[in-house]
Amino acid sequence: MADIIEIFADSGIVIERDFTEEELTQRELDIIAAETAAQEAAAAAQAAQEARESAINHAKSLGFTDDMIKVMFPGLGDI
Amino acid sequence: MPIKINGLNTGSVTLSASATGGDVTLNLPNANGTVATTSYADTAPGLQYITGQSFTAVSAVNINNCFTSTYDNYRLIIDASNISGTSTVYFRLRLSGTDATTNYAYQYLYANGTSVTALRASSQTEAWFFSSINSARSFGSYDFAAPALARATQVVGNSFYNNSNAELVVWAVTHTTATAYDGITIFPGSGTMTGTIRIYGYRNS
Repeated sequence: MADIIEIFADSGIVIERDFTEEELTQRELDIIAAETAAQEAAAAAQAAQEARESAINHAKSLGFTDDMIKVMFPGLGDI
Repeated sequence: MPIKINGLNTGSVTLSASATGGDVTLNLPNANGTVATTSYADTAPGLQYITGQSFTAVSAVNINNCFTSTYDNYRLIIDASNISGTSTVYFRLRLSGTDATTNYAYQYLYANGTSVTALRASSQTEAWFFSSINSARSFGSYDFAAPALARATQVVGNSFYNNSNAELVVWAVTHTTATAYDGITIFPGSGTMTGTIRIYGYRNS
């Protein structure tokens, strides 16, 4: 299986080929960048979840019920 | 309404109207005996198919000469049946077969049930614009503003993150280099991808 499929929209020519040496070097850098981005996205999702739980717990500590929290903070979703 | 012209002995010539709308003029021979025609310019508004390709387990899809001066804006549709590795997909604009590797920024808004998560990254070497979960099938549709004009390119679109769960991602990407690009490279963050990509141009009027 070739690494790259290369399409020339003007002529309709399609070429399947392997990476050049330069492209392979870039590919290795891309893999590292993608893993970093995926980790950052997971961390952002985790932080959002923790902030949500913290907000709910704080509201409950002040005596608010689940129904009251839903009305006051609809963005928190299901309690 | 086709017009049939019978030959003097055998055979005939049939003149048929264009399959699409608009007038075509066929002029009679001039004094030199040549037949001059005016070509039909299809000016109807809407999307014009430019190119498309299915691919299987590739590490990159390079599409050259898909952005031209004919259109300002473009629609790219990606339908991926499998994205291995990190299940993330990126793009880079390219010119004359060389990718631009600086000045990308992206923002996404990810909705999963009642939970919404946002993330932005700037000064990137590529633009993250598509993902799937667990390498599953996914679909995305994006509008590219002015990639072939010598100004910054903006992209906005939507995609599924989890097709079976209808999780949604809204993407915005900007590439701030003021260069006219003629192509795009699309590649998974790691591993390979399988699917189909199609590109259309929006007629300017």
